[in-house]
Amino acid sequence: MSEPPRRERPRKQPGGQSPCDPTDRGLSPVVGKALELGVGVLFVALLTATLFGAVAPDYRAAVGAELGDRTLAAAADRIEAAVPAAEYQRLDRRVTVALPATIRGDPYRIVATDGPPSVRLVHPDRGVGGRLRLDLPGSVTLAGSWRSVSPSRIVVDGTGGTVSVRLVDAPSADVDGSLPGPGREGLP
Amino acid sequence: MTARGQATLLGFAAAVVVVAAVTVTGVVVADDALADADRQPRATHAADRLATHLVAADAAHTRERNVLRADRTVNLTAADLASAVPPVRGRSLSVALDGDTIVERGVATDSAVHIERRVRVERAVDRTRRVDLTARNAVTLADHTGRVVVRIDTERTRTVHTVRADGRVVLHDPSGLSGRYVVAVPETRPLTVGFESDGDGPGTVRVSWTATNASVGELVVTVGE
Repeated sequence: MSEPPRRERPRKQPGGQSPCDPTDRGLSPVVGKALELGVGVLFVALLTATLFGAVAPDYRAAVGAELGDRTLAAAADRIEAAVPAAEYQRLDRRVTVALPATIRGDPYRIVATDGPPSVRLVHPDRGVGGRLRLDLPGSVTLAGSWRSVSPSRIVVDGTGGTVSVRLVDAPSADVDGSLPGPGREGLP
Repeated sequence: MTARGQATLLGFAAAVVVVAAVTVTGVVVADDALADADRQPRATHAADRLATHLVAADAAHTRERNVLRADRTVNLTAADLASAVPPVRGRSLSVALDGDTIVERGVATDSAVHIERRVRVERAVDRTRRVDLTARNAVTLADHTGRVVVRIDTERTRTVHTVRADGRVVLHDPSGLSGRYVVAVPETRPLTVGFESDGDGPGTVRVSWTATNASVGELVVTVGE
């Protein structure tokens, strides 16, 4: 027993039963703060778990489904508008379409099928996707597909009354019109 | 001492309540925003295509763009529309003209998309005018579409030999016209149909034509899921 000399009374057992014992009063703020902290941490953890476990995924799924629908409808509108209503002898038209690069964090594809003409959105997630029938004249054939990560175009070719519509992915250099490599001197 | 400790506890409890309330409010607002953002893009696309077809110039029930023939429009069926407009296949739809439902298929839900178009509705009205050749020799048609039917009925003492429409000769027979003739006439409005006859006996000509009675109507297209 090497007690400091200023202490004269022997220490009680730790965890003493007398709450009024003046020697372990120093512990009460520590325990109080620790409890408070514990309750606070528990509360924040519960809140975070609720938000990230239930609410946020629901919202992501709903927003993804809605964005998928809108993308599909917009693509259908653009394809329908790319086909002219009048009859032309020769037709050669290219329309660039801007699509969202990702839906719900994943790239996707838009696939055109013929007979009856329709577009389908193919996405790794189940909740995103769908099929939309197109309102195109009867003499139009539809083919091709788009990947969302690369620039997309509609190519309309027509000769002698039959019109073919193809969905084509263009390399970015093709869309920008800039040639890769050297030999670009003389550009303003 | 204990009161001071409880003050801290009260503050902490208030903070927890405030954070919880803010979170719940945020989630509710986000829910509302998400519900508002659901715009039914596919139903909108289908409704837009259907409305475009209903007023298209090349549809069977229109005379020109935004001009509907009333008799053919009221006879439209959902099957006609579905075959002409593929996007509406498998969806509930209804088409109303001035509040009268023309086509209805399925039950429209609250989330259905409405599109309105102002159209001119034309109804064909058959008109007939009787001309007494002893009193007059011409009739003016204020409005006509298509052909004109002329029925000439004279006594032997009067001979109708020429019928003119807008100054042009449309019927001519020197030995006399009699009976029923269907005449293609110019598209002039108003159109004057004149009769040139010899003799002085009684004679009547009945002119029948199709006039158009047009009104402006509200076409409401509803497409649901």
